[in-house]
Amino acid sequence: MKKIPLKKLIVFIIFSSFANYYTAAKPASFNFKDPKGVNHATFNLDAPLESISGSASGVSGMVLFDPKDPEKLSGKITIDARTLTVPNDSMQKHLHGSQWLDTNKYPSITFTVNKVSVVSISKKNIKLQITGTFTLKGNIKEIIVPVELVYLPKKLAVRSNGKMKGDLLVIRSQFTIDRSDFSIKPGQHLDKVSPSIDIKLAIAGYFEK
Amino acid sequence: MKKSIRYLSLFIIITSLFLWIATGAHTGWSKNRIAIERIDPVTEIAYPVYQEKWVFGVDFLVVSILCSLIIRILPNLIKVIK
Repeated sequence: MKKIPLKKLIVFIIFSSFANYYTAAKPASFNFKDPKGVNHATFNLDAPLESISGSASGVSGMVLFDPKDPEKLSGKITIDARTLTVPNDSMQKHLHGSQWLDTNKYPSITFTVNKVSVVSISKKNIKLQITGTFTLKGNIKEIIVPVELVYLPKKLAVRSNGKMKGDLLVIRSQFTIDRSDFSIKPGQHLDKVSPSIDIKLAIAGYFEK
Repeated sequence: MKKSIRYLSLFIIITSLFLWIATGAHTGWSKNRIAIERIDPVTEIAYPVYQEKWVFGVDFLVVSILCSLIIRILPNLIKVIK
């Protein structure tokens, strides 16, 4: 058996441990711009005849995530309010109009992570409680949302048909906001449309290596 | 004249009822697009894909019945006014 010189071995160990430290400790930056149109947010407002529901597909943003330390998660997700779609054209016009979301004046809905606390970690997923700043129609409010993360290492190649290599991060969340907190017809039409809006988010980000 | 107005009124009701049933007898508002759920095989995210399709709701049915009734009573109404 060939002997490895001790000096070389020490240098190799030091170098590899440094390399390992830098690759492991640095959180990966996941990009949530999705050309496939899978990333979306849905909303639901209860109404007497039929609940009003729709979705927005214009999702973008960056999230810094380290699977070994999920508490250090940070980032911002933006939804293009102009991509909000409902099944009825006239309803959609009302929704985008100045009376409701005024999407021409306020084209972005954003959520910025401020504080993260880990609820549970299992092999399947990581459950977090995130305190963040939610901006809608120019109104800013701090809210606490439950978030489920699914980390899919080396799955980017499968999703991109081998064009890219890297990891995927799936974020799911479901929370309720009060429309009066965001100047969406506060105190009006309470008999026709619910004062609260249920929001569901299901998005996947990629980290290219 | 009276007979043809009755037939027209009946035709509107039957046609609108047929259209309403044919597009799924939807008990909500009329829609001009429907959301079809797809699932991304890698991330398992269920996402909506919109398809242009008319679905007649109860609002269409109510308007059709009202139109039919107006047509039906119109000759009598004109007579009363005269």
